[in-house]
Amino acid sequence: MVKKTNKLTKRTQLSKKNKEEIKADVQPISTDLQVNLDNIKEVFTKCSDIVFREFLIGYQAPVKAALIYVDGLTDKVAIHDYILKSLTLEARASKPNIELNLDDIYKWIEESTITVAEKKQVENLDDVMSGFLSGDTALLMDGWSKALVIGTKGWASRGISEPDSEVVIRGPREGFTETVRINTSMIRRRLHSNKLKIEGRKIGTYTQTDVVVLYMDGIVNPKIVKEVHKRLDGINEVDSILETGCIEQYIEDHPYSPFPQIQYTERPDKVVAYLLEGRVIIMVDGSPDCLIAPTVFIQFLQSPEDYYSRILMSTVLRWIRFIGVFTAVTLPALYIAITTFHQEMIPTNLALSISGAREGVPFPALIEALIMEISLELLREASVRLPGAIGSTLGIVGALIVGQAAVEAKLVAPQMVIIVALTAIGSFTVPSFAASIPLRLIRFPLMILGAIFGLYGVMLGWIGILVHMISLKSFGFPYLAPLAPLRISELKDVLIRAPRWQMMTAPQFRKPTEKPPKSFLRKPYVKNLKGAGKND
Amino acid sequence: MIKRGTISPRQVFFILIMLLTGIYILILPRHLVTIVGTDGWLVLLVGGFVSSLMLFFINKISRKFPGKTVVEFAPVVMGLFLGKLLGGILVVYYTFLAAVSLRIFAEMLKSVLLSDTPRWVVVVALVALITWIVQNGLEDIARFTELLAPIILLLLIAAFLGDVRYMEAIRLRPMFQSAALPLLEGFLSSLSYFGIIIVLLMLYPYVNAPKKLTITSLLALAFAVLITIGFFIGAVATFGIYETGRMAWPVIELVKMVRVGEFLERVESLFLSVWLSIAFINVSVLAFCSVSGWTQLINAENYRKLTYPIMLSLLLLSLWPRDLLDVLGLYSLNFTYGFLITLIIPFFIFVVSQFHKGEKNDVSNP
Amino acid sequence: MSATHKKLLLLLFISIIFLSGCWDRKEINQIGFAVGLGIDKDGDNYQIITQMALPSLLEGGGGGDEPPVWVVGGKGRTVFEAIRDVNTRSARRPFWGHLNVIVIGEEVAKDGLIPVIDLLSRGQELRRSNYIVIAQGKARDILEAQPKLESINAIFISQLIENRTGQSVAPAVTINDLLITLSSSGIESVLPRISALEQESFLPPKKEEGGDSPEGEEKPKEILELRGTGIFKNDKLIDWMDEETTRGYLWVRGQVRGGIIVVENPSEPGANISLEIKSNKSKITPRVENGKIAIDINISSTFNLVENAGFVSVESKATMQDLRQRASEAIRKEVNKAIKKAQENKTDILGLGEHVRVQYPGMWREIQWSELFHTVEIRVNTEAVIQEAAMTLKPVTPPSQRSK
Repeated sequence: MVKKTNKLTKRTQLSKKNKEEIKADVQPISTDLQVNLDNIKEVFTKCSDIVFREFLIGYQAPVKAALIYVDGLTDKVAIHDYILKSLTLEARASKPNIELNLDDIYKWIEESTITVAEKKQVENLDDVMSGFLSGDTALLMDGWSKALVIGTKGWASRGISEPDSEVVIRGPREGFTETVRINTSMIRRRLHSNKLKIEGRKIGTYTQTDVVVLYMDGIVNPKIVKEVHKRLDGINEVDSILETGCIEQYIEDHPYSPFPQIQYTERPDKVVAYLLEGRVIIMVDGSPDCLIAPTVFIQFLQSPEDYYSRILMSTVLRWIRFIGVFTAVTLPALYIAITTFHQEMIPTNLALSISGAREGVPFPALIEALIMEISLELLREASVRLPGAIGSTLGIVGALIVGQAAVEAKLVAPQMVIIVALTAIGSFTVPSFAASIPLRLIRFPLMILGAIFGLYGVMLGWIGILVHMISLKSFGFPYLAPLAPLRISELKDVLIRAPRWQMMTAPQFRKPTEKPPKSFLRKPYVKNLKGAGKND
Repeated sequence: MIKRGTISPRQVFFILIMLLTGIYILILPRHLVTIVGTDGWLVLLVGGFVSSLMLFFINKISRKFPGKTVVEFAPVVMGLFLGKLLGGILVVYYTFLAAVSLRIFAEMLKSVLLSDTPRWVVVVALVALITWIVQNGLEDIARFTELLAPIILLLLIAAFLGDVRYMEAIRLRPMFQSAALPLLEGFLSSLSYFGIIIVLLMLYPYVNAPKKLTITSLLALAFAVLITIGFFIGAVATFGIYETGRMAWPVIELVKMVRVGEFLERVESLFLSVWLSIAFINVSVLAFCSVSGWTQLINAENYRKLTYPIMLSLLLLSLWPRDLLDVLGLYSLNFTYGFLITLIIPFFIFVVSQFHKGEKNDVSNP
Repeated sequence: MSATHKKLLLLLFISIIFLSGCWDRKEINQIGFAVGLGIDKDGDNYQIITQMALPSLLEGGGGGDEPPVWVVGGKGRTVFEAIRDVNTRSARRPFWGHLNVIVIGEEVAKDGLIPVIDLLSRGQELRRSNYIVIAQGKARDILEAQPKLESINAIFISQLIENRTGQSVAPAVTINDLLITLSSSGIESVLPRISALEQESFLPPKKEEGGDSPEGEEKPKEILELRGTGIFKNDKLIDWMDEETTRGYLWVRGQVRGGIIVVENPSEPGANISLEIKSNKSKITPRVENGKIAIDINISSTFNLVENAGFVSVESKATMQDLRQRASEAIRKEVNKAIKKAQENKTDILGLGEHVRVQYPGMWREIQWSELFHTVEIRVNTEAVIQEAAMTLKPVTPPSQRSK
């Protein structure tokens, strides 16, 4: 673990220096409004979107004041109606019943006139600046060495829509948006519990991005929360965080591994389920994806739908996914190994027909497979970049026409086209895109090994993959759990999808002492009925 | 130093089964058939029973010095010189077993699957992977075993069941025809065969619940005896004792006969891949014992650095014999004299340790 | 594990990949699938007939007259030399992993199987579960015959062997079985007999077709028949058994899986009843009586009544009893034929010696079974159970025959 932190700090050391230089001068707020404004204006030269609005409060002995906000980031109606109007028109009309000295006036203004819920007193100019930069409005008053940051965040954002990358047939269609507060609200709406903790922080020297850490207090293993905070502390000084992907790279355990050790999702229902399992969620403003830590590999093969649809169906579907993964990783390698090394394994008639179909194909099976697999990857990448309708057209063109033509031109055998098509289909059954990429890539080294050693090579490759996956950890948790190390009680959510009322034992991520509350001991309705019948 | 107390008894269970039914089962039926004919099962059964006695000694002495491997506590019990000597013999034995396993597997692969591929390529590829996992430590080896062992065992049982239709009981008879001397030789062979369980002496301190290990190791032994007898009987009932004695790899020949349905024949390549994982687990565990043994023997600081020279020497050692007959000759040494190491050493240490206080109280067990 | 070490290992692994020349690789379209193997003798030399499948012809859907196989021969002093001789004439290396059947010529069998079988047991590509048959005459005639239904005749033969259950007129013997019987004491080997025949021998030729085909031109034979058994002493073929004797042999071995026994209806002389064999068990018990070995063979079997060619029903208990008696008598007759054949030839194909060896191992060491076998007294007990009368209980009866 010590080694790990070293690694982490190493990754962030560079940016730390920058930050220290910048942090050296904290500017206090001057009592002279004009000085403050000049200072800010100096910092923000050539920033046309910053609005300075100077005005007077009161009319007997008016106090000079100024509002600063960023045009476009703020809710203008709030500024007009609840700040400016309150401070100018309504403040003039209302009469405080006490004789006021100067300090009390500021207090009175702060507490009695502004009709916006969110506000914060700040004491230096840096906080003022970061305040209005994040969309709030800063209120500076002459003669006051403090300032108010008033919550007026409000900018144009994308509406809540269905996440394209994680489509389900059954289940909510809501997906996260780019605004972190909307996202947390979606979680809170599903989880009305005081145990839900949402801790915020800002990361990124320049971007000052809002990063939010969510967890269920009392369910989560506190060690994980500590570890997450420790790792986030480690990257406090990076320049920018644009997406959760940036954080993921900084804080994951094995950045060079092809396997993702942190899962991301756009689905609030998934997040809530993971929160209740005792995991920590990291959200970043500006990104609809949030991170789930710790993550085990098997998660990538589970879809939220599994838990909504019926028991038998979801178990079967899960196995279909296992088959899909196996196909995507191994099928071409197996085909190469068997047709070039172990022809005796194929039933005689099939062997003869493969041999007949390959008659005239100039390449060895490996090259043939590589040609097809690479063109498949080309097609896939091409269709991702193209707009929807053209993308699917391209898929059809590629799959049907190119495949057909390649067979007729005797470039490849028809069996190879079947194999490659099955590989593609298999890799599409993985619910998570992040996990399907490494699975797709792994098959290339496997194919090469299969072409050198036959099945021995394929097995060597698999052993290598397993050795690697077993050595992986996600936030200190073994990546292949509950398969290795084997936790038999947890296999009921891996090999099968047990009925909900049987999934009561605590998953490994929970706080060690935490027992599931009584309300977790559920029974299907039918069983309750039977019990009732007996009593009568 | 590797962290101790990290693997579970269940993982040890699977490791032991894999070791006991692993690579040497490939040559065991032939060896026994040439000595005792159809009475091999009897010899195995008795050998299994006596091996449980060996387990008793191993468990006793390891529990007496919790948190310590045999290489560490032998000097405490026996005095520095004798202790180091005994520890050294064991470590050399582990290395020997690892090298021979590697070579037997390579020979088998060469004669059944990859006849034209140079032997060293096959071995180097495997050793590279083994080095990797040995570097990662016992915990990873244990997890790997735990992940694959159930599947391997199921496939082995499936292979056995797939051959039942070729078996004829009459080929197993007449029983009890061997003379006393061959019976003794066969018995010692089976004792040496099961003697591989002595790796437990090195694994003990890494287990997180050592108290359960007595039952676990006994269960593993019983299970392994069952499987071994199953394959012996399977081979003899399918091929008869004459043919079994003529074959280089009776168990592989057995597997060759398996048909899946009426359409999938010759699945032996598939089973050989299974044997690859068995070989991988076996050699990894033995190599781990060897590497950590050497580390403790010379009081070296860094376990990882020692991996490379030892894996390299293991590789060279395994490539040293000229051909299969040499390997088998080498291993028949173990069949004949292995029990001297695996039974006598634990027994010897056990007897001497009876006069020793033990360290139950001063070392807190993780 | 530090990153440098990891890189080192990775480098090692990659270097293996580049150093490698893919030693065992053989593309599937660069090997010749040898599906059938025949072994004949030509003077002192062995003559190998390899039947290779032609995948390119198969792919077309079997169009055209040409069969999708290519028969290629080789010669040599040993079988292995002959097989290697084939390689000089085949552009693609013959691949033996898909061998379906091995046909041994009669002459080879008479000279002894050991020189042939040794190679077959060692071959890496060959499977021990391959069927082996013995040709009546030359193996070449069998492999060059052109039966219908299957375009590849080796596959035809192996299916013929697997479907032998219909009649139980030939045993099925794999290389493994042969190796075991050759190496065990107390049992001798047998092999099924295959013969190539003209269509005309089963269907009388149509008259007008006689003039069509010119005299002298030899047409490939169209019929392959698996019937009868060759019996061996040690590794040499010494005699044949016809199909009835073969079934007698199979009864003793407990290998009868089907077939018909025809017996006379007890209550209607002259009318035959067909009984279909459903199952067969045999128990061999050797005894030592007065220092001499005697062997009891108990054979039990079950039948279905499938055809009653007469008018009289056999429903009654007494008739059934009688029928069972006749059936078991028929079995006994066949078994006795087989025993007689074996004892005449002084070769224990029935494997009775094995049971003696297992039961009396002490005695076994002292006797010379091959010298003793033909003198041993063998008692046969048979028992037949008739299970069900197919679908109908009564035979077809015209009104005139009905009892009123």
